[in-house]
Formats: sequence, C-alpha cells, structure tokens
Amino acid sequence: MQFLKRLTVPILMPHWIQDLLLALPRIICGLLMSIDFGASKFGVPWSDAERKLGFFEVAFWFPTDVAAYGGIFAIFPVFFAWMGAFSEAVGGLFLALGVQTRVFSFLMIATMLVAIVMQQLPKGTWNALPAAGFMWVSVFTLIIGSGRFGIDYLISKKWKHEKV
Amino acid sequence: MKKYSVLWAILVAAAGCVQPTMQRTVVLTLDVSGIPNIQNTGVRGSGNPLSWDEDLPLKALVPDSLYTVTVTGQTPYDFAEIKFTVNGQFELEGKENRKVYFANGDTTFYRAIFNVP
Repeated sequence: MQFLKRLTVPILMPHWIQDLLLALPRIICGLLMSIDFGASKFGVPWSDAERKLGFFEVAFWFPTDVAAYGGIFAIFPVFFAWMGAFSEAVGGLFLALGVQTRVFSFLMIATMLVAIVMQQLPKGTWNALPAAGFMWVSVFTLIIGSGRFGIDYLISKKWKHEKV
Repeated sequence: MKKYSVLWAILVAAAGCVQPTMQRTVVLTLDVSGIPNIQNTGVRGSGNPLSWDEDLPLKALVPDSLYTVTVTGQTPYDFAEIKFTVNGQFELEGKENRKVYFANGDTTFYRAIFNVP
C-alpha cells in the first residue's frame, strides 16, 4: 500500500497555475495518443467501427510490424504489440485523466522508445520527432505525477484526510 | 503483491487477443479502352499485398483494352480501398478511393473503367 501511495501522490508546484501549465501537454498528448494513434490499432469503445476491432483486441497488422523489429520482438510479437497498443489507447486516456500517472508514463516511455529506435530513427531524425515529443512529456509526468489537475491528486488528498 | 500478480496474469492472457482475419481473393479487371500509349497498368491500395507506394501490375487480357490481376490476402475488413494506375498515374485524383466490398463466397470479382468512379 505504501508503494502504491508513493507511486500515486503527485509532486505539487508552488502555484496552481504552474500545475495547470504542466498539465496541458499531458492532457493534449494523452488524448491525441488515445483517440488517434491508440484507437486505430487497439479495440476500445472510441475506435472507428470500420476497423472492426473487438474490445481490447490489437489490430491484425501490428504484431507483424513489431516482429519485423527483430530480436526479442520477433520472439514475442503479439505480447509487445498488445502492450504497445494498450499503452497508447488506454494509457493515453489514463495519462490525460491523471490516473496512475507514473505507471502509464513509464509504459508510454517504453512504447515511444521502441517506436523511436526501432521504427522511426532508421527513416531519419525528423521522423522520430513526434514519438520523441510524447516520450519527453511522459518523462516529466513520470517524475511529478499528475500535479493538481488529475485524479491521482484527488485520491492522494483523500488519503491525506483519512490519515488525519 | 498478490493483487499485482492477478493484474499481470490478466494482461498476459489478454495479450493473446489479436484481431481475427479471413483470407480474401479478389479478381480485379480494368477497362482502359480509349486511353492512348498504355505501357503499364497497376493497382494500389491498403493492406498487404497492396500498397499505396508501389503498383501491383495488371496483366493484359486484351492488350490496350482489358487488364486483370488476382489479389489474395488476409484481412479483417469487409472491403478494401484501391485506385488503379496507368503508366504510373493515379486515376480519380482528388476523389475518394474505390471501395471493393468482399463477396460472401470464396472470390470477389470487381470490374472497373479507368477514371470512372
């Protein structure tokens, strides 16, 4: 329980406006990741019906793409594809809401790191910029958590009151 | 800790969930009568073996008139989006892609006239 609390309780800035400014990239990146990139390869209620993705199903083409990275990705392509797609579609939403922000920041960093190194960087540095942007935002939220503008903050406030 | 084990077990089990696909075969026939100097014809589209970057060449049934290709691939969708090319030039520029809806049987037959939606 102590570990879960340490993972959840955010670091707060001296003024709420600073928290708001830090929350904006987290919310925008999280929603973009979930609604656009994630929902196109992972079955969630907001996925396009034309894609015919079942609930929590990974798109048929994604494990093939992941296997092409070689090494451990070729040995467990379905697992890595599923984890990557889950991190984007579900993790993006949880990041935007500020729920278990640090856990989903870690998943997002791992997913974006793979996308940068294995998929985008071979095509040139410019191609790696979008994934790098999502990764850098997640590095900040991994450290500070949700700040004042997230569910984690409300949960940690409740814990604080219970303690008193 | 037990709580996390259950969570990970669920995640690993769910990791087996890949969208199911079906094998589809489509016979495409393209009518290019009236178009001069035809050197090659092709089709581009979404989903392996089609691509939007490279032509899948069509073969002449009747030279300078009818061309055809048979495409077989795995897909979960009810249709494929395609456009034909003649001498590397796309048809229907600025217009929507053709949607080829798969038939219930083994093979879908799709006949089109170049640049006519």
